[in-house]
Amino acid sequence: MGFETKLGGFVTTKLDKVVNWARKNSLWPMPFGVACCAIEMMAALCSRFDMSRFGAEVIRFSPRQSDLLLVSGRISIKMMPVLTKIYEQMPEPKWVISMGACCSSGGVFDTYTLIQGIDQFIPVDVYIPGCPPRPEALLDALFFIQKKIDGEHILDKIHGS
Amino acid sequence: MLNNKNNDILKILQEVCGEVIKSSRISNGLLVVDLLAEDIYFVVSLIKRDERLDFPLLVDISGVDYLEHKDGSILERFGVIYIFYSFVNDLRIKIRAFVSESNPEIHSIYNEYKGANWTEREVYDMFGIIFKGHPDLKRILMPENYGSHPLRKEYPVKGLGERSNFPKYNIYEKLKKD
Repeated sequence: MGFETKLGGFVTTKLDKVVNWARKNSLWPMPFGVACCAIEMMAALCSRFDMSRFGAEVIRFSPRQSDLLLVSGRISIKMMPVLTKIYEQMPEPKWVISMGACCSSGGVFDTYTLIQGIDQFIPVDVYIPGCPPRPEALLDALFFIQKKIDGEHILDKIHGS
Repeated sequence: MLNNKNNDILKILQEVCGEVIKSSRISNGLLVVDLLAEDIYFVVSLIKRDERLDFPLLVDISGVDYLEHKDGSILERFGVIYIFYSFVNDLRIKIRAFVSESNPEIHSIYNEYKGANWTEREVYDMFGIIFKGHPDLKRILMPENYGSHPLRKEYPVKGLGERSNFPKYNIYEKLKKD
């Protein structure tokens, strides 16, 4: 943003820039923790790693009040319709982080019950490898999301694509 | 002392049931009794109601698929295993009822032990064994529209395509249209 304070108290910028700036520094995560990755997610949110330094500290357990879905853990075929419903309940704009090997690819659980990657059913923005990933990896994914938001056009998300 | 108690119980069972008990053994202090599916309700109500036996607690019900099992003690393909506990004698008993492949039915013991409700549903879900007289026999772990019974031996480890059979989120359809 170019601050031009000499022009009589006006600030000039581009609409995309200011909207993306607001969005990326105030992500409201919705945790969907179903396995051990959720423990690392909790660690990332607590004081030692402290995700709130980057503006993503308001954890909401209601999908209607959040815009970042943190899926962490293995998703079974009975759980996948629930996850899809939660994703659909989140208002646009929304982003999804798939945390850990299990929800990104099924991991070691190539069995009859488990979804082999949630990206078969909902769109995913950032995948985090690891079993489970370190909290730093989750922070890194958050930076990726912020970088992605920075490059977006505000009309993109209105059309839902 | 444990074996004495087990022997007493086995003696009472053999007295009352007679031919119903196909075989029995004591392994690691646990009395194991084999019988056929049609006799299960009689034996279970006996061990609950007989004051000498007195097993008031159902610990668990599980199923086993004995496909390709060459042991002579295996009478039919499926086994349903009941474990009961007696507080008075501090003793467990394991009852194994064999269920045939052609007619996978066994009488529910829900009328004797209310705790059998969900465990019988689990055995039905995993092995497809039908419990006659169960109040609400439906799947408990797998989705209700799941087509098969996953712990049967002929069922593949990776499933029969159930993992990707339900509707995808329609964003892909939207993108295709655009």
